[in-house]
Amino acid sequence: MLKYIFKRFLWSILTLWAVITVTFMIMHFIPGDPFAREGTMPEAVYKNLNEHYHLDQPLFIQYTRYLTSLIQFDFGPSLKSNTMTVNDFIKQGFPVSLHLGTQAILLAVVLGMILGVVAAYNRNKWQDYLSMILAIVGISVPSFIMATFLINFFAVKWGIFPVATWKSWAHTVLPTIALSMMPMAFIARLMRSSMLEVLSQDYMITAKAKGLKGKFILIHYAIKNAILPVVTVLGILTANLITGSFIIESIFGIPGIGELFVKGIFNRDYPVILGSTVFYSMILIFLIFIIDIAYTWLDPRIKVIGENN
Amino acid sequence: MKKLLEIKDLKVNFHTYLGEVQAVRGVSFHVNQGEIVALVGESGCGKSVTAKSIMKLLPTAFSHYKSGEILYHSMDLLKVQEKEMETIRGNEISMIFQDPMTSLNPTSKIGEQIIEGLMKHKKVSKSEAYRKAKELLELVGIPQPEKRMNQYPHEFSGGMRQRVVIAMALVCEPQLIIADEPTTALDVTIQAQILKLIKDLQFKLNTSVILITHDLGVVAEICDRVVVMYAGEVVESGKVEEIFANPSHPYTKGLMKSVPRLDMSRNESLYSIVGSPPNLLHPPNGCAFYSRCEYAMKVCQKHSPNLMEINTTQQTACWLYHPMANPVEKESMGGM
Ligand SMILES: Nc1ncnc2c1ncn2[C@@H]1O[C@H](COP(=O)(O)OP(=O)(O)OP(=O)(O)O)[C@@H](O)[C@H]1O
Ligand SMILES: [Mg+2]
Repeated sequence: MLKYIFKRFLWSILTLWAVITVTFMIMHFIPGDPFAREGTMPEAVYKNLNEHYHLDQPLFIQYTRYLTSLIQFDFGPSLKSNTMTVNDFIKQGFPVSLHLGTQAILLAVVLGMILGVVAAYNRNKWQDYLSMILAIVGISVPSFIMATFLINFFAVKWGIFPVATWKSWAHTVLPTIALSMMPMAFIARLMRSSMLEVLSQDYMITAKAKGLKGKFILIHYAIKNAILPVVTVLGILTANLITGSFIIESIFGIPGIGELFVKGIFNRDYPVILGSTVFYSMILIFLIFIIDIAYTWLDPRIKVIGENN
Repeated sequence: MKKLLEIKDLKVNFHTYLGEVQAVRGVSFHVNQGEIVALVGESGCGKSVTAKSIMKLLPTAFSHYKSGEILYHSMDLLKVQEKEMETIRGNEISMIFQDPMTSLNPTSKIGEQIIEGLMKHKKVSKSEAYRKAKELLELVGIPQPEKRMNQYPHEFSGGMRQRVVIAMALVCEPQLIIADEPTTALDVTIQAQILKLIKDLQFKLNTSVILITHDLGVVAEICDRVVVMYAGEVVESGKVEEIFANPSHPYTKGLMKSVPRLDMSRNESLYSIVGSPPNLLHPPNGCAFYSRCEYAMKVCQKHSPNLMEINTTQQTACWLYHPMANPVEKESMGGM
């Protein structure tokens, strides 16, 4: 088991390195240049700026320089802000996005699983249709429409929750709901099909034939087996949610890191783009690593494959 | 001998999009305390449905019990509430399924799967339950039971899994075990071991067993009585010796003839009953075996025969044994 974890860890590092390298190279080969468009800039200033940020040095030197700083968790300076580094941006925005994302993913998992289980247990009855209509709405309605809809009713019309900004917990409710709709719908559909598959398995009849209680069978037999496919997608869903959504954060005026990336692209602020891509990859790869380990614990059949390799 | 289970005129239908499938059409037989009863018959004749009916394991959404009684200790299981049925399943009546590869929960340890029924029914402590599970695994011939209990189904071979399933079925010391083709999915040498195991355990614990099988050799070897089913009905029942020496129903005769024998010559081809069983969506009015029967009479086409006693232990559902049947035709039966 330890050997397996170690191996998966090495793979994670390797994957991360590949992502960093590819992003770095793409960044430098796309046409354009962070300071080129400021047409009024005197030649000397331009040269100085390039020198200051080491943009005049050979690519390989820049690359190794970037890697070494990354190892010390230094994402470098921002080219467009003279007071903030990329680290400052992340430190400022990430806790907010993490908070919002964690709430959203928890809500999505709990609600999505309940909907999926209820739908599967009541296949082709009204509960099933209702759950799946909710799921289709969740998947097909874009989050900005969902967000405006929520704001219109819960904030403007009924005044239950504040309209926007990020202050008290009440401020987090509407963006959490808006953000969780899509993953919730996705999980509900996945859980439903996975449950239906499990419910048709022979061991479900064995469980009943043993005289076990319905609730016990639901938890120990049905959900325990049906949850596996849901766990596999949890890494990506969580990574997406906790690294911030540009749309939701803009609509609700939330100071998260979702807007960081988009601003970076508009400004051609290389270190910011690179930094947020690398940061996102780090989180994604880390979560996938955790999920992989959790999976071997949830599904005993996986362990053997891991150990035999 | 005391009757443990008695099924009377059981009828089970399935609702399908084509219509009502009459899977079981008036089955009656009984199981005495401490005996092994074989349930035999062609594929699709309703053996599994009958077995699942006893435990009330049929999907409630699209099946229903049209009529009949399933008397267990003279209590009608068809009238028992689901809550009470839970206390009978696995506790007083347990079931061994056909495919051990799929009938165990892949994500639970073997030990847990054995004790969960015991803990539910007998209110014993966990450590006591584990001790009992260990004993049982030893009894069914699994070496190193302590270690094995902490393993998952995928770490067991097919034969070993079926032993686990048997241990699971035995754990509450049930009075009746229903084994639905318990060895069909296993290879031949393991089949013999498992059947011997069932027989030994039945003898040791004096439980009753309903054994569903296609293997008449097995029936002859380990069963006390035989119930022959055809197209959702019982066509004959009796003691093993009677059924093998004196099969009375033409279907049973055909079944016996289709068993390969050692004294068969090399180029003699194996007998098989021509034709196929009727569609249970629209079963015929008369005898279901009519279209395949060598001895069919006029009456057989119109009227379905009920079970008739040939002697105190053997019953058959065939007009040939009706007291009014033409003695000439009866004679021709004897000559086959
Ligand atoms: N869930 C179901 N829905 C519809 N029809 C069913 C269902 N289960 C069984 N049947 C029908 O009931 C009849 C009896 O099936 P059953 O499984 O009892 O046969 P069997 O005697 O056990 O056969 P085998 O030897 O192949 O196991 C079959 O004709 C089958 O088509
Ligand atoms: Mg069957």
